[in-house]
Amino acid sequence: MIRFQQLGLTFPGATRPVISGLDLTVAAGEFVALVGASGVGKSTLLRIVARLLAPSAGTADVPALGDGKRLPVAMVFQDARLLPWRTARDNVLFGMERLTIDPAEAARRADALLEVVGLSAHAEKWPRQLSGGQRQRVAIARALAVEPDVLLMDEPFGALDAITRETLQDELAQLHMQSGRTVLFVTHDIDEALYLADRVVLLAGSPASVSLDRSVALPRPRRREDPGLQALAAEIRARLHA
Amino acid sequence: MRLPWRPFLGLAIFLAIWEAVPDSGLLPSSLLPPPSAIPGAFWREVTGGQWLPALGHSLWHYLAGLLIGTVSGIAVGVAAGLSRGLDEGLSWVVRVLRPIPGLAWVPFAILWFGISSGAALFIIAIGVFWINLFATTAAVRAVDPDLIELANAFGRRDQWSKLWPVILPAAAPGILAGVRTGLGQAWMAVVAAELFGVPGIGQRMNQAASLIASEIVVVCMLTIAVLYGVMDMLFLVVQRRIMRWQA
Repeated sequence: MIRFQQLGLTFPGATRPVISGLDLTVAAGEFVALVGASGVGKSTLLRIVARLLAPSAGTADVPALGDGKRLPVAMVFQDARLLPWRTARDNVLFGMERLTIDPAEAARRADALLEVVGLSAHAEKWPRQLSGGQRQRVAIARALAVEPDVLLMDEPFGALDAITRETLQDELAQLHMQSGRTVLFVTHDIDEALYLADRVVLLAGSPASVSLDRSVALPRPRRREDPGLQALAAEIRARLHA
Repeated sequence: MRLPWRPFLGLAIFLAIWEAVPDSGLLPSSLLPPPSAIPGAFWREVTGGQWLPALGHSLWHYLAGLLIGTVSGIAVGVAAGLSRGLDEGLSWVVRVLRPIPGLAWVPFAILWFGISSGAALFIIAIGVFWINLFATTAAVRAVDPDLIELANAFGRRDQWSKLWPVILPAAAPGILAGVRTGLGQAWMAVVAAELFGVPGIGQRMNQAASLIASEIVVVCMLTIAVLYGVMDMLFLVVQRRIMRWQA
């Protein structure tokens, strides 16, 4: 699905690479969390998967741009990034407008996804009338609407309050169990990573590479207080601060 | 709703002073007609058949010149905002042409179009063009790069596919600010252009001045003020509709 070999990235005009010698493979249907200190290059890696950035070294096998029927990759940003001049519903339609989908089918899909994220009653509201959590739900619906093979999430719950965050984590865990979609999830929250992911990949160093790649072989649905999660968290923290 | 009385009081005092100056003999009423003479003069202009055709001509010059200047200014502004190359290529041409006041184009307007509506449209459009060009270029360049990235991530990779759904709505507040400035600028140009003899309120004003019919000059001035007020109000209604997503 996604395969990086000796991946390197140097931004134009920069002298030092941000990422160097990174190897990582993500299989179809896997939920992989990328953790690491802020600025280490986690978001940069997502942008390479989305073909928003091109690597400057190594190889990156990432999904193609798509055939006009689906978008193989969709992204959820930390700041929901809704278009403020569109209603919640029209924001969900945004990605589908580039695809050759029958408008009635697109509308049906948007309504169904607003239902899934619990916002049917808010479909005609402007983004400014929604709470932070609601905006992020719209952003998730917008990404799911294009039926991507890979869902990229860049600290999607980082700006939310603790209660909203846990609710959205539970909803995402459930969505993933139902859809079996590949998810690449960037977070700086190790507990969040372990609660959600099949694998936790720690990026570290400057330039960054994979410092730890740990599967989380715990049954779903998970409980936050599971001692297995606590033990894994301790291990990753030890490596992070090493 | 409570009526704001201070503006009315201010207006009443203004009119009282205006009325008192010619009455007291400080100035002859031929140089400064008292406000009480204006309604009568306005009625004579309307019934005498001068006011409505002059208004029609001026409105036509205003709307057509405004449309040409606004649309072309926004179009070039969007292109320059999107293309660094075009913006750089135009920068020196703009630096030379922009400081030339719209009125300085009057000789050429007359040479090229004669004393005609075309000359008036040209003078109006050129002033409005610059205002919209600069406002639009700046607004397009200031579009949040995060929204551009969003558009890229959702399959809108080239500029064209981003223009209508993302760039123009995001730049709309800045573009509309330019349009509104142009709305006021265009009235000034209308009067200036018509003072040179193109039919309209400006021309009527000039005729009245040469006959020392100063109360008619005031009628013309107030006509322009009211028209500008109406246009600005209509604009605000339209703007509120376009920008209803804002708080």
